Amino acid sequence: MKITRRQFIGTAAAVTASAGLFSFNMLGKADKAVADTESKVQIFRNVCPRNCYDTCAQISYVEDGVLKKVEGDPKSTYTNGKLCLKGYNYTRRVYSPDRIKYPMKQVPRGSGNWERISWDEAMNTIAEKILELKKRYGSTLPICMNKYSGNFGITHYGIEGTMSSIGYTTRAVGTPCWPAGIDAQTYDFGTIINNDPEDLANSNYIILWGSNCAWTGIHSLPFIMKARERGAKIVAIDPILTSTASKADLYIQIKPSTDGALALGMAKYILDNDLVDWEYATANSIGFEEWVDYVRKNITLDWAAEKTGVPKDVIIQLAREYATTKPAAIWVGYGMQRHTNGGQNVRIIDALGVMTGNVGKSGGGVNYAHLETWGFNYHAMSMPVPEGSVGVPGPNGTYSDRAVNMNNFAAEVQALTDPPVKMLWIAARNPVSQDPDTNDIIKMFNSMELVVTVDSFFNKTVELSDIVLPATTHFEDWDVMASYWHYWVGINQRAIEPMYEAKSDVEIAMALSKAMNALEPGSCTYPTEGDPEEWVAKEFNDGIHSMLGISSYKDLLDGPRKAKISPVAWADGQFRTPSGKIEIRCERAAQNGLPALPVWVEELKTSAQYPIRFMTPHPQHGIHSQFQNLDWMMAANPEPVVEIHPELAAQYGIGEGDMVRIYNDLGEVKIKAHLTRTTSPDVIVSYEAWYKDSPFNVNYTVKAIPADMGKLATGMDGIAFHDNFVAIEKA
Amino acid sequence: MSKQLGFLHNSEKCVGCRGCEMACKNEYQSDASVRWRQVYQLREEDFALPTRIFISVGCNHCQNPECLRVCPVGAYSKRVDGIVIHDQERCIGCKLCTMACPYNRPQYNTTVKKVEKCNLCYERLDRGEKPACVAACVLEALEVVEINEELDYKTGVLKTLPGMPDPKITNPSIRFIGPKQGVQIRRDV
Amino acid sequence: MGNWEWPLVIFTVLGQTAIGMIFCLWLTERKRSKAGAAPSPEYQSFIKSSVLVSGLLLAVAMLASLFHLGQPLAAYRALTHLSTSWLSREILFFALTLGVWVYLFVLSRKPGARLTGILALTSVLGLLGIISSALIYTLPRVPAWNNLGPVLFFLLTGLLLGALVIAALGRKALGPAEMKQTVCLALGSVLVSLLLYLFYFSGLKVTPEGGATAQILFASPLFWLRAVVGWLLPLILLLVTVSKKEKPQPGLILLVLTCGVVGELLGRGLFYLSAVGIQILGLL
Repeated sequence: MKITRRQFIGTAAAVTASAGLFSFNMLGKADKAVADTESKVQIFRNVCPRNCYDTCAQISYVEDGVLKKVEGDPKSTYTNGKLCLKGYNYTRRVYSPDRIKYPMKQVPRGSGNWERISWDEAMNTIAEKILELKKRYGSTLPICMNKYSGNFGITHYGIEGTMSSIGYTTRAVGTPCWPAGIDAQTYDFGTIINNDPEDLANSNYIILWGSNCAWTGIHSLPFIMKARERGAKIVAIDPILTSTASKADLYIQIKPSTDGALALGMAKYILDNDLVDWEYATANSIGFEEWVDYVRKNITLDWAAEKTGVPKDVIIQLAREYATTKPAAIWVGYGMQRHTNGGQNVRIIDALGVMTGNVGKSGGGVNYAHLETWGFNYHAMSMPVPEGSVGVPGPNGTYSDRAVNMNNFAAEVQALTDPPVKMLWIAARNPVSQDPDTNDIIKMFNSMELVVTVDSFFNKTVELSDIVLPATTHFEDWDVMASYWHYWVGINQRAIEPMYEAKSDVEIAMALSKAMNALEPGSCTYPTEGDPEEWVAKEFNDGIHSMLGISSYKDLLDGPRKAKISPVAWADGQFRTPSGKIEIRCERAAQNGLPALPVWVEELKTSAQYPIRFMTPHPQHGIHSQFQNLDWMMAANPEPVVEIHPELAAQYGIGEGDMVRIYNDLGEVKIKAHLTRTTSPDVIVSYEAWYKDSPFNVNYTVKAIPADMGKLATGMDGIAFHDNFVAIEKA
Repeated sequence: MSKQLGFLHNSEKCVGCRGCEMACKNEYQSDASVRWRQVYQLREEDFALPTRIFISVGCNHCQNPECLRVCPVGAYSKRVDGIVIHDQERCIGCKLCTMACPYNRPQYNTTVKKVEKCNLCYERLDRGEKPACVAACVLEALEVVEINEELDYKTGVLKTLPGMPDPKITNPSIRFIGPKQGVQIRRDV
Repeated sequence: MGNWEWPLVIFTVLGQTAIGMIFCLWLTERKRSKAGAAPSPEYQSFIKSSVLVSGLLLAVAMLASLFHLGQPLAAYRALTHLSTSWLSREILFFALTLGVWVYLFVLSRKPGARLTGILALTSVLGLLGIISSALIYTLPRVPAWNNLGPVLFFLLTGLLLGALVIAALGRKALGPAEMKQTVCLALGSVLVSLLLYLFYFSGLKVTPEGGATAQILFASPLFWLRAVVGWLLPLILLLVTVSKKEKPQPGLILLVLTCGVVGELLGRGLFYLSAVGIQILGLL
């Protein structure tokens, strides 16, 4: 592993220069000396474990045990040696003065009266409570875990493992962000697989459908731009003229939630003008003719134009171009499916890809996500329940965990009675900040007897917790990471010692096990000892080894590896549906109460009382409630705004910089207005985030309206985040 | 041999992601009170169609640097390659340079109580490496160039963009490739 | 720009007052030495206190300026860029002024010493100091400052307050003609200031930044207070004084001085506060 150490010399030299050795010639000479003798800097391999397409391979520079800076690993052709604005902020996360250093307890909950406690006291308190609840209710079902994407590192499935190891518990099941699209592709293709994003460079026509990859997956953009250099046309379809859409050759401002209608309009044109790839469609799918029949009989371009707000001639142009330019790729963004008909809209777009023969082609595909490189052992998660554990009764005297909808968390938890939920374990998650219906979430938290949260900052969930346990950052822990978009897998080394008394989720599990078994032997099956590196080693299996072309996890210390699978999704035609074909007509969907065919399902409409759609997409300066609170990020982006079209603003007498009260029957939020014509005239936009010391939270008005799909592959339907209807007034 | 190094920023490629800003901060671990490089979103009304258009500005290493002229302690110096360097050792924190620069590039670091600014990563350049911002740009929208007539005669290379101060004030060593705007199908027309 | 800059307000106003005082003293001494009359004890006492006060003001001013710096203990370095920096030159001239003032002070304690020469020298150095101060702010980046305005405003502050302090200190010692001359200087300064400002405001609109400065000032209640207390009141009171044959009432002089000081302090603060710099126009 020969990595030049020149990069960090800049820092050393800058310090030297500012100390007064100010001679340019001398610097040159001193440089060489430093390069030869003073290599006290160590480099490590890390992988950003955030919920992000790019999942960057990182190189961290550590000097005297201190993380000096983080860069991208050039060995990954996707990361290409560069991070993003968030990745470059990592030292500020590790060394933030706001970082939670020790286990803390807050009495009373919500008072801000935090007191440091020892790990022993923390684990004992928690263990005692678990055992007390078990005694009171006869099971550990009153304990509810909510964990999701705060850290997607494989060993962080140790959080689920923690729960399993104490018995059967209540689990928040599902995923809020992307399940409707997952189900759609599961119904159609059998599972989600996307073309390698690097393959986008081979495309001749790219539709970015509801994707703002300039903010959410910037490393894919260069490949898209390479395609453009070769003459490809880039189209962006989005209700918002995002930074991504600003780069498109053609930007189409669509009425939110009508994407399926646009796709159907395109399909009608393609059908009428004999541009269908019958060979591909009939050879690889079932139910295609039935769907074609539906399109012929029910869809007109006039209808599509009216429904979507897109002029007929533009639909025609788009359809013709997409159908005749080969290969043509579609990137379906997750924002697009956060509607009540989101899953159905993805199914329709899938069908569009099939009808034009773009599925299974290099430079083509209807690309959404994949989980092909996630086949680890999940050893940290797979813990047996203690003997004699009781849970939700199943067949043949078996028991199981109790599932509660992560996407309707507050309501469903409060509705449970047998037994009720009395304790929350929150890790890699921030429901008070991120969940819909904040007021109800707060109410639910307040009804708990004990709330334990594992986190690094006093964020909104921690503020409503009784005990907070300090989490390590990924630089302080061993882990392995895969991406759900690109095909690289990387090892994450412990680059620095855990800060203060922080522990990783697996270390917390081991500590809890110790505490519980001390009070009641056998009450927790989680191992009480274990080396962090070994925990990672245990996640690897032959499948992963052969997929990555390695013989041991240690090979990844030399650099991340790309999975040895086809860069073209479905090139082999081996669809993973029950029939083995693309199921345009899908029985499973029908069985689950959904339309069998990719037909149009009406979108949710605004009401007279709440006539404005309030979209709350992903921010630029953070990932959900992470990063924005850090000092550099707060300096660059001090406050949130709500983007309002000037025509809409004028109707309410709102001027640039005025505070706007955005409200509905659920709650309200006040945000400063920024007038811009880059949003639709009837859509206001504010990016969800947690700003340090700010009450800002867009979720007060968001209802837990389910998206149409998600149950099949993820256990629960998704959330129609962008079907958020409000009224506004100048505050 | 005297030349003038500077930045070429391509707004056609730039998506305003701020990777360059933060890569600079990452390289120097600079104080939260200063932003040596800043991304600005230009005003919608200055362009034909509303889109999100960005420029990224570090120090412009001007040919007539006001900071250098006004500094009472001579903390600024200009190298033969045109890079304007601020010697923080000499700085007394009088902040006159922060008043004099039309681009707000020298900034007062409230922790050390002295001014600092982008130094075109001269140490990296001297080692044959690209500046941190240039190296970090995912879309390759930033380049270090030699500001000369040859560059200025190239098609598409602009001395200024709408919203930038008059370049005649300090003759900044920054050039632009202007943004391109595609076809927009909008619902507000 | 956007800040009140108290250390600089005190430095410039007090420093300019000190130099204005010395200038007025020079005018008085020059006339007297031509006339050749022997100075009265009251006059000698007046000279001693005036010189002392001017030195104290100068010292306090220079001390105050240190509070503006991030590194006050390194202020000595500010002398090292005389080649292009008006700030360096300002420090040099003020340092020289203070240095020469010491000699002036020593001389002022000697009964019968001829002070005209030293007062002239101190005045010239001080004048160069004030002009340097103003040229510091004559920046292309700040259109509202990038003209003769700062030079003229700074000089007028010095003349106005210098004359008023001299008139106050010399209310017993100065003869009626001398008082009249001093008061006329003050009146002239206020008048010219007012007219200058009117002319200045009309010119501000030429640039957007200048226009913004004008807007800030007009919208600020403190500006109107400054106008009334610093121009209007002194103008009226001084006109009344000058029109009368008798020596002006000491109380009146002190009142005008107070108004003048408040007006100039407010005005200088607003000078710093209201300046708008050319900048990149966009969202940060």
